[in-house]
Amino acid sequence: MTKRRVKEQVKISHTYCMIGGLILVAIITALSYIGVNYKCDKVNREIIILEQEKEGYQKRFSDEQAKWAKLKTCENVKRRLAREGIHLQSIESEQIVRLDIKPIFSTKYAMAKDER
Amino acid sequence: MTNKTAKIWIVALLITSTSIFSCLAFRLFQLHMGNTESIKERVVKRIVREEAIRGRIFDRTGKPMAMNVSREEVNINPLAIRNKSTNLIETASDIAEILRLPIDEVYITLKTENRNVYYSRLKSSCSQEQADKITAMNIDGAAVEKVIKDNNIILIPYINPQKFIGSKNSADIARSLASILVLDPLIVHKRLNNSTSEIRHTLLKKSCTQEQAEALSTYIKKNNIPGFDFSSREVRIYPNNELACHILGFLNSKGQPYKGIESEYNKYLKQSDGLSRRTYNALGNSELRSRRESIQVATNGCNVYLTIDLYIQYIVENNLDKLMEEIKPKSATVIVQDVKTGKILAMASRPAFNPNQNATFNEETGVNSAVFTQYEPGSTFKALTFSAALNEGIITEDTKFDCENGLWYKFGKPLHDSHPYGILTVREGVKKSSNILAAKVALLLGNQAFYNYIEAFGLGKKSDIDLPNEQIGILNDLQIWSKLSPTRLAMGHEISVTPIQMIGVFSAIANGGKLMRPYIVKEITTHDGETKGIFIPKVVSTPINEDTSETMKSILAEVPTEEGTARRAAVKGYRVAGKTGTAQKFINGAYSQTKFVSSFAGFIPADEPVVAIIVVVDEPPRPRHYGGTAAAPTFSTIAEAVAKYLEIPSDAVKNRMRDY
Repeated sequence: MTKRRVKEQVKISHTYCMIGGLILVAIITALSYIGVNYKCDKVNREIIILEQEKEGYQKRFSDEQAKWAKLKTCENVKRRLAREGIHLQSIESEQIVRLDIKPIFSTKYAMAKDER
Repeated sequence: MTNKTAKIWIVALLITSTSIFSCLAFRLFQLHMGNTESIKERVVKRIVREEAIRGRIFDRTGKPMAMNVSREEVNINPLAIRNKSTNLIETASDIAEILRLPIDEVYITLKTENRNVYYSRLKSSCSQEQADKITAMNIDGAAVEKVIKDNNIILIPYINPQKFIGSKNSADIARSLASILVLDPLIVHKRLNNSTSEIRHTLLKKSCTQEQAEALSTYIKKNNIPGFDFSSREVRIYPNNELACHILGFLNSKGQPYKGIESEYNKYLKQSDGLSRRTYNALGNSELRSRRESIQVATNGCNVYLTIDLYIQYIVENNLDKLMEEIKPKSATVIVQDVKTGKILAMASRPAFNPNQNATFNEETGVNSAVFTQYEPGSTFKALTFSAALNEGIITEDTKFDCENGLWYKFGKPLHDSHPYGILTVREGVKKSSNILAAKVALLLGNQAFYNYIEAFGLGKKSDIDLPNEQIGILNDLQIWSKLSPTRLAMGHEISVTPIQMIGVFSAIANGGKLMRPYIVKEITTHDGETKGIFIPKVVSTPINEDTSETMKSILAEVPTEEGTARRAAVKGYRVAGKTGTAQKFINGAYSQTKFVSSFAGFIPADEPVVAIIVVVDEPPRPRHYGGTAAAPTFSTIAEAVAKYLEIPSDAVKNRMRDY
């Protein structure tokens, strides 16, 4: 009698374990799905926000480039320098010197060296 | 609690939770593996335009000449703002400060009462098919608005109730619209007859910077003011305003290229907007990024690098403005060209326009005279006549001619010189600009040879410069030349040229006889800077040999001297070469006695030329109507500044270096 009761109890506990295990698997699956879904959603939102930010920076960058280009125009530079009391003068033609590229050891120099 | 009851509770709890999670698992399985068509139908899909950027235009040093910036358009719903704002003046003042608008203007906009245009949305959006059907119905007061919001093209069907109130057929229209838009006909009918529909948004500022838009957005959020609507768009800007306007052209209000490089190189500059299919959740407020599909990839336009040097262009335009102010001619043109390569370093005309303000543009200000205006070159043409004769070996620089004391009758027609001259050598004839001597040389040369040289110097055909609307000038066929033609052509009459053709003649003389193709675009790169194409110098023809070129250089160098006709073209420190031209304008079949085209074309330095410059002044008033007085001084100031900027050593320094 006692043996039979023990056997039945083991059977029942096995069934409980199986049900418990199944529930656990279902819970883990559902929670994992919800977790992964939440994370994906978060990444999705982050990507969209970052993309919008990037677009904003690009617009800002082109805006700043345009501002800089306007600041650097010849007319503007001249006006701003004048405002600061700086008068730019172009160089005199005699100040421009260009040296032709010649061989380092010219024939004249080589001959002088030989003579020595 | 007994053991049995506890067991029952545990079993019940297990069954409940198992059923809940089983349901959940089943639903998940159904969502992913089951019939998804009905779910897919509920997902909102939108075709979104992905904006690409038009290519930029740079000068040869990489300074931007045309670029794109993003601008925000701010629209407001005055009623919504009024309802929320407690102090309208203060709000108007804050907004005005942020957007840099006059306070009264903002205040008036905020106070806008009922406008004539009423606006009532029938649906938040509709499909293209539905929009087409509504448009096809052609109902006055019903239309579809295309709104671009966050890069999405949204079609909004709307009506103007003012058109339908009291209308007999409003019920029929309501039924038709409702059937197209899948709406309740009663609701549509109610909207058609609703006199209190919202006022359509009012434009507050058409173009404000990103900074301003961000500041305004922060202000709105902070003060919780409703009724603001931002939409961004790309705007083409030209940082240098009028500078090089004729070269660049512009984009008109519809964004289409007009004139200049913008038009000529549009196929490279233009961008190709992309299209993508985006998936949103059923509420339409959150995009599923991973589901984004690209239908058409957005491609930015290519960048175009010009041969123009912005500083030289600035020098040229500054001097052109001075010329216009001092002499007050009808128009004026200057071109600066690199003689060795044919690159155009500067090109400007007056009057001009500001490409940033399309309103300042008209057909008169928009003409690029450098390639479009045709004129009789007058005495500048003698450079070609003498070059041809010298090259043929018919004359030398010392050949003497009788200049008939200023009046010569040939074929029964008189030919005058401005001053009476006796015997002159060719060298002296060029220096004094004798018409008679030039005519005699042309007759010696013969018609066929003369015509061949004119053609070889690139006249009577397009120079092939990469700018639109280039004119070919007028060169009569040899068959219709009269006996007098060579005598008149020799001094630049009976022929029309464009400034770009004429500078080509002088560049060829300066460049050892090689005529180079003029070009204005140096390089084309992708938007990221990768080279796509480089333009290289091209020899078009070699009308004269190097010896003739050397002789002509030395002859033309005597023109800008005290004894020559263009002493005002001289440049301190440099020997320059060139030729003046004063041509009477041919008006109504006769040469005008009051209207002239004066010019000076030359190069610097005379011995080893680097740049050629032409100055053409149209209708300079007397007494400064001569090429030597109207154009030569401008040539001189431009040539000096350009020589210094390009660091061309002066003759004195060169001589000293040679000795050293």
